[in-house]
Amino acid sequence: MADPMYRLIAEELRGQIESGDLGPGAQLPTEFELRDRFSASRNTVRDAIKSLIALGLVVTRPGQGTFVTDRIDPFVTTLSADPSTGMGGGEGATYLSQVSQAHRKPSMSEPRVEIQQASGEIGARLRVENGTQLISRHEKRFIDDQPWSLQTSFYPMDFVLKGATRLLEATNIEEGTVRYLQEKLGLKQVGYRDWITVRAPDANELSFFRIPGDGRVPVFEVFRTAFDQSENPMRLTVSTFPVDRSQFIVDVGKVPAPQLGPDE
Amino acid sequence: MAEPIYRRIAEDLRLRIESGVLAPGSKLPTEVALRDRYQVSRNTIRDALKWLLNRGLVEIRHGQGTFVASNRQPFITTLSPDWRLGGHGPGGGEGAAARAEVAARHGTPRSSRPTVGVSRATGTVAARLGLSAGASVVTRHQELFIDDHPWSLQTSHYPMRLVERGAIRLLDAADLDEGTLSYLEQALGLTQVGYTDQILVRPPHEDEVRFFRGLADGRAPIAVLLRTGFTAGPDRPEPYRLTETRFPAERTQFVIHEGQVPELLAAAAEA
Repeated sequence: MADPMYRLIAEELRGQIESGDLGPGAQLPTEFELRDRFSASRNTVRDAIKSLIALGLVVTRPGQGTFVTDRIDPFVTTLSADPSTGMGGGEGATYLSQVSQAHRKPSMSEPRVEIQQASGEIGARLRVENGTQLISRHEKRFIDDQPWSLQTSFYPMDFVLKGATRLLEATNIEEGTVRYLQEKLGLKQVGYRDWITVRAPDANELSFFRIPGDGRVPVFEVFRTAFDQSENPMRLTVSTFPVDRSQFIVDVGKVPAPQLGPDE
Repeated sequence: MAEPIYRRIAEDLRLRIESGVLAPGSKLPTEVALRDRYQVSRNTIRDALKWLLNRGLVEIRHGQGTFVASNRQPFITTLSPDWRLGGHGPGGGEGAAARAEVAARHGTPRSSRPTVGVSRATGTVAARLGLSAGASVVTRHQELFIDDHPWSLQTSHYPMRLVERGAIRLLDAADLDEGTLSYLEQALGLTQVGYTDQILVRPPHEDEVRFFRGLADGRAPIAVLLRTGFTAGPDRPEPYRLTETRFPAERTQFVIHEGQVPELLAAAAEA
């Protein structure tokens, strides 16, 4: 089946936008010029523009024309462990240093702490019975003051009963919870598993991230399960990131020092 | 922009499927019954069903109707190599490792014959492979299926110098049975010492909408996995291949291990 003409036009323009030939804020050729260039009817050109609008690639300003939308500069989070510290990428101090290295400004809210019961996926990943008491520590993260991610870490209530009482404090644990749990309880994090999924945002995410409600921008939901020396899950961190501003990198084996920026 | 009507209907049906009101394997109401229930046109119902189809929630059995998919598990791709091998060898997500993972979880993997071409490197490809723009690269493209369901689109790029140095089978439009990694090791003595995976999600292109049988509304996002493979160089690791794999994002999950973690197949129950 041949592609309808409007799609061919849309794909060609999209190619120019994605390659940067038509940069953010650039004006598209006028309807008249496009009709001329593709030997297409007015309606065909309009359909092509409409499909680019639906993709969020261009906006039409009445009386002025059609312009390439300003793109958010995506941030690339390295998920693999920092070889010098063994700390997981994207967490606490590693997050702050990764963002600062990219000459961007990281910030985060003070944590909100809640006690809740394990259910469904959370309980399954921590391998505890449904109904087990968990501590959840929730925080909001920003880059250059833009909402970037929502993160919730879950710990068994047991840890508090055994002495790690600062898990209940609604302030950041300066030395990081990994080190705190090692000092207090002798739990050593020996590895972690990241599980990356993509889903539609919920109402809370739509409003926090200010993403369009038309289903165009899904969110990454990343589950990180950390394991102690007995290979028991000791912590689960669930983070969501809108896909329009986040990419992830995983390094395995010997690779050159990171020089990669965002792609596409 | 308001949500289109077909999506609200699709969302309603999705909730019924996920809550179990419509059980796996059960037949969906007919198109006529659905038109009646939602008071919309045939095309709107068809769009809603396509949306569900694209996300693997329903399947069409020709001449019988639309059924709730009996296997709605997401496709899981493990990106890390087995840590017990010390981080060496090919990564998960390609070749034999990928086939084994699919066979263990989902069904029979199958791939189209590769399409092979030579093109000039631009943008991402040149940057990732450390080539100047315009340098020649060999491109090998394949469509991958699980039990005849579209699974992923895969395109690999190799610098032309590998062919010039003797790896001429990169130009064969046939599967390299031993896998490209082993072939490059045999032919040129190049061993992969590491790789970088980059994951991003973006709106679909036309070819992806067609292949994954999506809806041409730009809202069936595509997950892109870009893997750059490195071989030992005189000073530092050098890139020698770039593989781009595209998946339907909402059906795809990626798993990464760091350090010492329990085996994944045992852990699959976690999900």
